Amino acid sequence: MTPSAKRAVFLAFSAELTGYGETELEGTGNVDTYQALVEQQAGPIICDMFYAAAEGVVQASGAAARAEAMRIDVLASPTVWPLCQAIVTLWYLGGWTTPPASWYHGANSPMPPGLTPGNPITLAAQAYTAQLAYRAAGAHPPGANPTGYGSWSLDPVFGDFVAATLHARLKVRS
Amino acid sequence: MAAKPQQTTPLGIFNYGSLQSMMVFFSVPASVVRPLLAGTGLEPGIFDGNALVNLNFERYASFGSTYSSVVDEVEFNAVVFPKYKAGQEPSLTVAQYLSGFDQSKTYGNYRINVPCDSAVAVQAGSEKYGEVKFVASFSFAVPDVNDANATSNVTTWWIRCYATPTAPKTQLPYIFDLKVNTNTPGVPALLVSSFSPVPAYANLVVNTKKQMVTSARVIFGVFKSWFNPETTPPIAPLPAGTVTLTVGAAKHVMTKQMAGVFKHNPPAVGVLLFDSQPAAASGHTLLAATIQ
Repeated sequence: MTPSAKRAVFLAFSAELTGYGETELEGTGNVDTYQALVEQQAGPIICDMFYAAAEGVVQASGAAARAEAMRIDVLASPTVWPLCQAIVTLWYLGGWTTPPASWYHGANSPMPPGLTPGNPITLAAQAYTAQLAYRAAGAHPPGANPTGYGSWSLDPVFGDFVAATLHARLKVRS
Repeated sequence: MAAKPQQTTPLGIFNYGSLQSMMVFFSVPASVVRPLLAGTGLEPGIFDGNALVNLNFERYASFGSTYSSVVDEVEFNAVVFPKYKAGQEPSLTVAQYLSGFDQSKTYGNYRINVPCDSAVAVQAGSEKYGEVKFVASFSFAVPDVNDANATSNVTTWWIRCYATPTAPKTQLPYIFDLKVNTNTPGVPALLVSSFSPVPAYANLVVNTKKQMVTSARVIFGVFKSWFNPETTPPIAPLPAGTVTLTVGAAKHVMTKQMAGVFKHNPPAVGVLLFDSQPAAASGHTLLAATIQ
């Protein structure tokens, strides 16, 4: 698989895992950083397994086929599924914890040099700013994205309807 | 006057040097098993109103005068009895059967298919004993006395079976993926079962005609067992998460056979485990002082 194909699979599969669209994930500016981190942490043997499973999911046509590929190729694997869980955490919280040694051992893969199992990794500021957890909650990462003029007078609005709803409600008030 | 005894031809006894055997039992409708038994002279045993199938993961060593062999295989078995004994099969619950109460030894395993990573074992099993067997490969991580240490202790069972003689690098596609965790909350307390001997039935073609091969694997020890022993039939399944079976997408007849048998996600009802003792153990100690 070429580097560009891997990036496309990583992005599409991340969309499948997070529930956010590829455009939205691209908009976080974190795709390349996250892909590089995952590949560096997983190592080449596990990455081959990951991309094969992810490709099976994103290339399946239709929701039912994707769900079936996810069940067979991803969920059943004691190697790929824990990696997917870590990727979901990465997108939603912007943080990463180096997997345990037993995970590499179970996949017959050496742990990439320089890693310490259980080591928490804090990525760039952009990972904090763009983490999906705040977005899903209709909130804003403290100290980063401002909430906007007048937002303090509005009820909380959850999910990705925030922008449209806020705009509509501010319009009504004005 | 009693009928004459049936004439037999002994086919020999195969001695195992070591054996690890984990049998996972599923309660399935008899209707999904019967098509797989067509023409075999066998009927599915009925326990608590359903048939029983099992996946039996085995690792064994064997030795001959001129060879030493280590084999991994999984038997995909249906618990059956021969039609010529119809009416004599004992009425048993699942719990009774798993406890070893078929003392008539009427019920036995019919190997629907056996993926095995040894070409020699496949040839011998198929040609000598009529087993339905093919060369396959596995990825597995299972408990073992040689890996019981603080850093890499494996306490659960994971077995993935491939249709190819060599495991694909990506671990895809596969025939089935099986996980067993007997430490799952709610799993019945560990018991022991005098399940041995474990009978089996096969068909062997001799001079273009099918004949029945009967056999019994005598296990020199008790099985560890996990199932609900005190329930009123039907047996209560093992808790969710104890056994996770996923039928994969590998193009092979066994994938289709398993997809048919497990299409309605039947419950796992019991796990039996036999793990033979090591024949010897060798310990090593490093002394701190350097040799002058």
